[in-house]
Amino acid sequence: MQMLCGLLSSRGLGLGVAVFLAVFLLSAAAGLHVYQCSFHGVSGLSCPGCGLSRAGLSLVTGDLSVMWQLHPFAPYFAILFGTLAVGAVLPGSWRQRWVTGALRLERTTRFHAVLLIGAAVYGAARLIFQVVRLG
Amino acid sequence: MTTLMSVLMGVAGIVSLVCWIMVLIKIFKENIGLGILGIFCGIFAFIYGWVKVKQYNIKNVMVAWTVALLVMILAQMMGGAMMFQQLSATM
Repeated sequence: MQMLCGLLSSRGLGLGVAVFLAVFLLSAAAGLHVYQCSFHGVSGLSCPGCGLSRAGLSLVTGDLSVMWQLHPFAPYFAILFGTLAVGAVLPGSWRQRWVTGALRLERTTRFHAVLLIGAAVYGAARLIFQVVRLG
Repeated sequence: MTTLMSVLMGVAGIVSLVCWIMVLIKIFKENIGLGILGIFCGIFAFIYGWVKVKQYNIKNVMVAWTVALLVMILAQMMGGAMMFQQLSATM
């Protein structure tokens, strides 16, 4: 499960993610939610990713205990999207080095796969817990 | 007016959910890791869908999703403005 290969190969994707996340976080800080979770809107339940944006804001402001309560995997997603954003704005040769380094790190440690599976288990458990509590 | 806004938000939410699932299916077929990432970050699936719009042949889905998101943002802003007006009237 090599994720970064697909992500870092497209500069447009990195730029899109960087710009949209910046707009998203700034608007969320101002109280306007540019992207609302449609799963939560329709079902009333929290999807595995619900709370990530608020946790990301808490991470940025240094409120780690709130971040931990909202979504403990926020730092991982911040690193992932940060890697993408930096890779998108670096000039040619620097970008190549950045991409090579990131891919080597992923290949040797497999940390993306491990953390993503962990986040998926956490998200699924949270969802099941909500359904059981409602039922 | 509030009821109309709620109905609009509900319809836009359902359209958005359906489009999200359709894009996720396409992403999962290409890369499971990216598919899981798309579940966590709907925004990521949205951007990835637009980046791969020709390859996946999902232009109609992406346009519908974009319109639904815009409707949700507009409804949210109008709801905020209406609340502000009501607050101003009571003060």
